[in-house]
Amino acid sequence: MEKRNLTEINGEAKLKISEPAFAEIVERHQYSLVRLAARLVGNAEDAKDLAQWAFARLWLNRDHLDDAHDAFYYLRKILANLCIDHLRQHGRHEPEVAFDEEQFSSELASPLQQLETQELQTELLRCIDELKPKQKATLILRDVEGYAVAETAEMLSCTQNNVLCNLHLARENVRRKMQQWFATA
Amino acid sequence: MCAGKCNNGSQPRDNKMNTCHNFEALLSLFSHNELDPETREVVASHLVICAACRQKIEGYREIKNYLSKLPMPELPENLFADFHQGVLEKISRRDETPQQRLGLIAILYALYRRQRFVIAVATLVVLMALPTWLAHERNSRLAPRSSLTQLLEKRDWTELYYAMLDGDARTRLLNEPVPANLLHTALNELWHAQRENLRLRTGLQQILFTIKTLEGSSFSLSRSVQILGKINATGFEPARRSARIFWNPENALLALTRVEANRTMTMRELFLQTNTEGNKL
Repeated sequence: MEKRNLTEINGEAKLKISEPAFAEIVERHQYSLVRLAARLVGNAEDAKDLAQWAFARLWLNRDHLDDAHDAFYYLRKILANLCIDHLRQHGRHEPEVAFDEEQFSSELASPLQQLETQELQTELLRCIDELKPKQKATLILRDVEGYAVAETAEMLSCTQNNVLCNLHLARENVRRKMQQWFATA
Repeated sequence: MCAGKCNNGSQPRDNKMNTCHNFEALLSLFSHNELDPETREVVASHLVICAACRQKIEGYREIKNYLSKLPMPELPENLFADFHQGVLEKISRRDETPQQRLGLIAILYALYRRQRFVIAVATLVVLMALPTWLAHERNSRLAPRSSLTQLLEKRDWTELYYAMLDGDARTRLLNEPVPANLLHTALNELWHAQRENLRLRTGLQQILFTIKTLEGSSFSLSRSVQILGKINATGFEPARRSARIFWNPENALLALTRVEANRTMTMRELFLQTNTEGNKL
């Protein structure tokens, strides 16, 4: 694609986020956004694509933002909803994102324990992947990423009660499946 | 479900609300400190007496622990090489969202993905259409393929009756010219036989229904059943009068005797000519 800048693409509109500020936002948040998307959709290329769409939407809707500080909240919200749509469209699949093996085992002593933990975490990821898109997103945002219930509700554009309900369903589902896995393992 | 395991035997269950089932949805929220203080206290008091729920709470906490230790996804080094360029490219395709990229294909794909929904809708439509289709099939199967002349010659009242139920067959038979003497003989037999034969009375009632349709005001099914009941209870003539049907078989028979024997006429003509109170002929 021919390299163009944003002013050429969008004309001379009065910007609430200037072009350099937008470039800085992209630079600053690209890694965390792609990482979050990778958690949600389980594929690095799709995650990158969705994160880029989130940035593009931010730029196209920049007039609705009060200031640049809102950008990150807005980005997370767009991304979470894009990921849910993506999961709904593409269904379930085995996660293709590789996980850092050092993190799998850094705190553990013996190789046997490391192997057991790896197996457990792989199983846990599989259980999460089998959840419904909205439940999966809620569980990852709240329990894995550690966002507050209110933040999660805002990101998923739903009420806090809705978040709590989805959380309960997702946790119960995962608990039951892991219990079965423990029983058979 | 652990409702049966609630009481550990030391304390009786004082009311119905104090069952595991009622706390089921709150346990995961309790284990993550997501309940308001009041509800939390109620759940805590239940946990004191319920070992099964305590075990569940432990399960949730264990999963919470594992979830918090899930490793970060590892992203390839070169993934961010052309990231900014990709954002610019997507801004230039501003009207497309990821979902709209393929247009019609995306819609078809989405329908394919939601095949359970499509199957459910299709099943509903089939179920709704099935009774009508079956009734139509039954009527058209039972409706006579033979002509009115043949039916009258055979005195096949059963087939004539089914013909009256089927719209297409009824129209065909009503407009078929038949010899007037044949019509007279057949109608005469029908008229005299109906007193003993329920099926013939029903046939006659269907003929009335047809006449009413020709007059422009069709009966509802319940009205039709009502008239048939009245025919059976009081006889044909009082029922005909109470339904305000002006066609009188006796008038029709009388009219037919006046028609030349070799002339042909349709049943529609006969009904229309003899359905007035004063008998035009």
